[in-house]
Amino acid sequence: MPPLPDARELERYVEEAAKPLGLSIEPAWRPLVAEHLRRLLEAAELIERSQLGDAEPVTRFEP
Amino acid sequence: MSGAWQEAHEIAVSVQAGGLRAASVLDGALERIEREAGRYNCFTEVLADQARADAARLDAQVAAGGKPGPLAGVPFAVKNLFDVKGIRTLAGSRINRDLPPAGADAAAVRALRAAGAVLVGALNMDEYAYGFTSENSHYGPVRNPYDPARSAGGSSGGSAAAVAAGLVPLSLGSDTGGSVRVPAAFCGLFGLKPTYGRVSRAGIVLFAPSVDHVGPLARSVRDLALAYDLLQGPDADDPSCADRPAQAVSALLGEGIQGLRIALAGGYFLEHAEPQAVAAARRVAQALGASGEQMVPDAAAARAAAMIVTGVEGAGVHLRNLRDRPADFDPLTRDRFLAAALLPGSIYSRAQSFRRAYRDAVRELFSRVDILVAPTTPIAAPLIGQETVSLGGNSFPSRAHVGRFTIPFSIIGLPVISVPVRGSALPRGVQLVGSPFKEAQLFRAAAFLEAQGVVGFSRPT
Repeated sequence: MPPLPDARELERYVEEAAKPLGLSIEPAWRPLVAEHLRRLLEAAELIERSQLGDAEPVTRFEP
Repeated sequence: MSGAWQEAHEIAVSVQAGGLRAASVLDGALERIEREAGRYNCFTEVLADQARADAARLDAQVAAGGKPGPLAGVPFAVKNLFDVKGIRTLAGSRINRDLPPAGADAAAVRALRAAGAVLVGALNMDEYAYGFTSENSHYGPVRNPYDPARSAGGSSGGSAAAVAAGLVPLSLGSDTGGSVRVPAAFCGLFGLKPTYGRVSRAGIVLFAPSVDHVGPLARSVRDLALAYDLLQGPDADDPSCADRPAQAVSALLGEGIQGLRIALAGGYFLEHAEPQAVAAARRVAQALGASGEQMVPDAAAARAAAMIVTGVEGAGVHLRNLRDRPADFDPLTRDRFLAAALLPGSIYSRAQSFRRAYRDAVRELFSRVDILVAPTTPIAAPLIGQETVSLGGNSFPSRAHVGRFTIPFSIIGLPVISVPVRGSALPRGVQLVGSPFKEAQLFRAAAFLEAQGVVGFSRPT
């Protein structure tokens, strides 16, 4: 994965990505939302580094 | 009137035999709740009238020679995300106050009431079960009976505080990343997170549907087993519930640990923790005759995958309210739900792929052992409002760090009992982790440890 964006870039992403989803994220909340997003992206990075390999995603669809 | 510390099975036996009236037991519980629940902020609703009617019905049944069930007259309470007919299912939120009262009891509530238990109320929690400390901005924090300045743990904090304070002998909680086990550990109780699909979740407010579990908290292994035996089994109303017959554990508690292969979880599970947490796990492992350490493969990535899966599924559950009334959420949960709502679906799918690969690797590990021993939490109960914890020169966000050792097991649905280790200044828990649907082995080990005096409930002073 590419290096994680800095806090300002993440805040901009939060602001822009929220719009098409109909989410209104107040400016005061954005830094914390961006910080939590950073943690989620770090989590995703950790998964990418795993040596366990891939498997079919866990789903529970029963027709 | 029964005492605060009487265990559920003792109450039930006395009520069944007619030596104790359910109404008298209930009076004791209601009096204690009236006097002490406010100190711990654990109840959000007390159902005195309904409970009195239930107790009177039980006493009449006993007087008529009827059999009132294995939990006859036992007062219990439930995390307020369980539906209880006639009251609003708050799930720790302000938003759910606007919903109509539940039309029926949740399956787990129904199972305990059918066995003669008397429901006395609903209990405080983290909003929508998304937290480990029960610091709820709408209803206030749940306080720890061992030190009211400290957290009772979460998200089933009220469920732990009510039992540890002697208000009721039994409660129900839910566990997605540790929400039964963490409060059980912080409040010195036994807590069970059963195998995923072993206990019905019908009628509860789900947090992350592919990871949510229902489980009991109690002051003894016997009470925990009694509740579990009534809760377990298939339920067509919960699509996640396994179609497997119940396998009762209560009769197996005296079987000991002979033949069980037990190991301490090494590496990740012994790092970034207070020395006392590691020492507690080693002590339990030693008492169980553990053969050594086993490494759980990639537990850190498992915790990362769980963070993504639970956050995204939770954001999906609450997306409409996140759009329409975000200001009504607790800030501690809202900001995390919003962040997860913005995460690309491909990342969620990758986390679910990892989850299966991790499950397969851990399955392989459980071909060599029956029970893994690990600390429940890396720290004892933090102070309410505490933001960080320093361990070995590193600083961690305390609320998230609390779930370090519980999350890697619940993300793959393994059964776990958190047992309270004796001899700590503040309560500490140790996890006994088993392979799927092998709860009986965990109960045998927990009962053995309790009989040896290594683990057990100690009253708060």
